[in-house]
Amino acid sequence: MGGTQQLARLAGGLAGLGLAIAAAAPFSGVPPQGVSGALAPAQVEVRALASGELLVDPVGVVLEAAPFPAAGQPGGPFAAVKLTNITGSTLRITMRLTALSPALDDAVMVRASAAGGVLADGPLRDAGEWSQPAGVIASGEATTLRIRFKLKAGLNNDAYRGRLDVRQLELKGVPLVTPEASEPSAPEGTTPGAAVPGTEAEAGGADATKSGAAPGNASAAVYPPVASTPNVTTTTPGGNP
Amino acid sequence: MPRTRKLLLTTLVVGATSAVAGLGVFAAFTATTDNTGNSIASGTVTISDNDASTALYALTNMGPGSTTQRCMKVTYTGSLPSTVKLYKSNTVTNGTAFNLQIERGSGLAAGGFPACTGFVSAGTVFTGTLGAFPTTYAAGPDARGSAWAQNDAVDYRFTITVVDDPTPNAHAAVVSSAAHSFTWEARNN
Repeated sequence: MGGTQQLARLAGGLAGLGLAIAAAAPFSGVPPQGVSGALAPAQVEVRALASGELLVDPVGVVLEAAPFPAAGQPGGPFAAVKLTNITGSTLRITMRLTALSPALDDAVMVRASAAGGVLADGPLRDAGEWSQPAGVIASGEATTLRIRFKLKAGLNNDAYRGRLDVRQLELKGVPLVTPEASEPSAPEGTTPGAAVPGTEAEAGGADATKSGAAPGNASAAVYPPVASTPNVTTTTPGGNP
Repeated sequence: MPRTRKLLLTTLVVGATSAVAGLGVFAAFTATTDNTGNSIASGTVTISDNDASTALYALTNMGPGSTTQRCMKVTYTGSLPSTVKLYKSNTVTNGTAFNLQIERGSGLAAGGFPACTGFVSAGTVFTGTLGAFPTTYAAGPDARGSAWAQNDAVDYRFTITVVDDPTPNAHAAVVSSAAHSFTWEARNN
């Protein structure tokens, strides 16, 4: 029986070795761990677009591949853009950060403020939608839009090393409607006999796209950007009698 | 040979075979190459203006020869280069009673809509009667004469004049253009 037991041990060992090798085969292509430490921290880049209602300064890259400090650390990438109201009306501001290269959707928090209002305060993913209009900026006046990015607290920094998130900053001005503004007012700066521009439009001009529900220029293509056919967009001033 | 011994010998052979086969898999030389990160997204065609939903003009009681100038800025923010044309709605009445000139230029002061402070003309887009101004994209004049790129902006000056009409009793009642609109339409090239 001694020989039988030895043979049994040998057979069992060989069978186990074969099974172990077979089980390890699917994982043979996994690279060794620990190389991520050599990559740069996560970065964010922001490119600002012009706006019909707001003079945006500067346009183009306003935050270039800025690295994040570790999650939970103070500071973070920061962008500032000057906005000037170039309409004849008092405006509120709405913005969105559309993703050109979304690499940090779930890792970054963003806060944006301008003209006394908060335009964004939450996950970067949510900033891709138009914000609620906020802040108040009078005709011809300027304000500074400030945008701060932070990694979410408790985030595993190594998991996001080497990632670059590129966002496009889009801005629009939404006419501020106040009880005073909706009342007909005396002509100002017009020649005698000329009506105040826009009064008839306020009363319901022929331009059916002038719905007050959408922020920004009420023409169909502006907010949200909608075109009746692909790759076609229009802008139309108020109805003119 | 006892049955147990036969069974163990069979197991031994199977184990040895699988071990050799497993080692054989690792003995092969391999190489791969990847093409990763593929995606596709459309470009954009977006155009807007600084009217803040206010009409360029709403004029009443205008006499013969009366002229009014109003200005606005149009901004293109699409990512695709586009041709922009300008046309009006087909709602105009008495179109021959009013003259229209549209110029393109630059320099409008911020916040002055619809005033023309600072406007510098760079060319004329249209001159004629209001009624003769096209009502379709196809017939509309090119709003700049060249393609628009992202963040391009052009200022426009509209000059509206009431046509003098010496016909006796022709203006005993109001002659109105009726409400109409102007549209800048961008189509990618």
